[in-house]
Amino acid sequence: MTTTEDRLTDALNAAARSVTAPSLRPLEDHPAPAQDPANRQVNRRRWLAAVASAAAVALIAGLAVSISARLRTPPVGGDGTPPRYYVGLDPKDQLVVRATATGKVTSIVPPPRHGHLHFFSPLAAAGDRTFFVQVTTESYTARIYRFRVTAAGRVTGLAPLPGGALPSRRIAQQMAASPDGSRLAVSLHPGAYKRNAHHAEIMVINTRTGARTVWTDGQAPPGQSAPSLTLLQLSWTGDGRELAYLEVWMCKAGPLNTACVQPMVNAYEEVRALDPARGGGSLDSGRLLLRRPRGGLEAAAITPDGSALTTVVVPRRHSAHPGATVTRPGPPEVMKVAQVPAGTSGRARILYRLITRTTDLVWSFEPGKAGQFLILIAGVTRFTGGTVNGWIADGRLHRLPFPYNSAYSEAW
Amino acid sequence: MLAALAGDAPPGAERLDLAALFRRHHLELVRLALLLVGDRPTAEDVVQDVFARLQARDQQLASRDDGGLAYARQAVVNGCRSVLRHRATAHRASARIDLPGVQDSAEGQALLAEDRRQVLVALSALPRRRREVLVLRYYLGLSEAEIATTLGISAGAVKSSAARGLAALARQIGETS
Repeated sequence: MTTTEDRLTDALNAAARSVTAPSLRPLEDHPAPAQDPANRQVNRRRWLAAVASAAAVALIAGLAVSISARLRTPPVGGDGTPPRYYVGLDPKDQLVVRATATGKVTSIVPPPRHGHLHFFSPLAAAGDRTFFVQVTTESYTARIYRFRVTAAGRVTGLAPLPGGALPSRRIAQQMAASPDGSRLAVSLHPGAYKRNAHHAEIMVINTRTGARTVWTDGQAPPGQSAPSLTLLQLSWTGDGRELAYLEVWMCKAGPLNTACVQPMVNAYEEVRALDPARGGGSLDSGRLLLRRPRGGLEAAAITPDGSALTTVVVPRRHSAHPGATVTRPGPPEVMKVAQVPAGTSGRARILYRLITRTTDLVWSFEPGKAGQFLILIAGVTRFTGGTVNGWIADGRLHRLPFPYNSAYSEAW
Repeated sequence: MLAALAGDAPPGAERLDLAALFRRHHLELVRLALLLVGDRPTAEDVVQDVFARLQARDQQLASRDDGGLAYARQAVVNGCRSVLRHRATAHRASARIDLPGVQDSAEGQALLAEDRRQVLVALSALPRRRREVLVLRYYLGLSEAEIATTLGISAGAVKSSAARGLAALARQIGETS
């Protein structure tokens, strides 16, 4: 063996030894089957448990249906109807254009020749059928592309966005285009391990010239070191004068800033708005629109006039391992879509309620021009199931026709 | 291969000894998942899901000489890929690749001296397939053919991925191997 092979073998074995047999948790719900007759009773109980689980799932589904009792398919034509097409990433990692009314695929976005393609995500739409998408390679280089969808649902003009080549080892987590498509806001996080690179930032790109302005996170709250700030959503006012951002102080970073190791005490989530015309600065300087203790504020989009926020809250218990991915569905909870005043106290107005799981995440929440909200909710992995994929308007959820039981990002 | 496994089992087919597979290989599979996904809770969840699926497939797997181990490894690797892809796509999760063990315990941290951290950091920066090949080769000690079966790629692809992965690793950690 070469020295490299020796060192690799040693490092892998040392890392693996950090897991020991006594410390492993036993299998949950699915114990290993035994062969002797005495254990038949165990098997029977397992079947009973499975049947009980199925009954619970059916009950939850029934509750969901009863709460969203007025489900219907999307209307076509007339004022206030949703955009004719939406773009989404399907489980095959293909970026496809679909008709909102029928779910029919009208076009597939061709993968650009950009290194070894990894995936398309996130997405943003400017409202005039102009879309932006980040293409990330396996070596963590990322570039933003722009394309248009024609009136017939075809993709046209796919090309790199000026200023859309992201800094080395930085990837976009969220994007939002200004209503006129002249600016694209991008939240950036480190794309791979990098020492002392735990900060978050928002970059606003002029889509015509490629000029960029950058806002970065400020100091850690008192008593905290190396916190991890996550930007969950970006949204613009209708006139493009304010860019709102939902930020959550998640937890302390690990010894090498690699992962969350413990939830922060007194952590909070807040929505602020910055003036994109200013030449960059600190994210702390944005106008405070909403602050609340950490507790499941998953999305928050500013209304076109800037007077209110439309929020999505999924109550959740915080994991002892906040950096870990959850692969099992949590207990059912009521998710609320509500409108709250921005920057002042006032009562929330509930727009919609839905039974979901505490482990579900809001993957897309996109305001539409006519006051609708495209919403996509699913578990972190396909194992958790339970995808909500549709749009909310007038207190109703209109499910999008979609052939899969899981979906990733979407925009319209 | 999965499609073939999904067929109906012949009447009277012997059942897979899942208990034996669990006793013998649970720890190894969790460790493999840990090296691929980087954090222990997720690694344990991935392996839990694999055993849950194995339970549903035990008759189909019973005739396999290895008692289902190769299938279990393959399923763990696939589960880890799924988790990594979703983790990187999820808008709230940082896409940083975690280092195995560093966030688990003081003991875990002590085990990883700076030299080992350097190697693991370099490993985590490799493209997914090269990382998987190196972990299967140098942690599990699998042959090229076994790695090819586990990852569903050709033996030639295993060979080239291993060579390129090792060369990149050597460059990253400042060695000439």
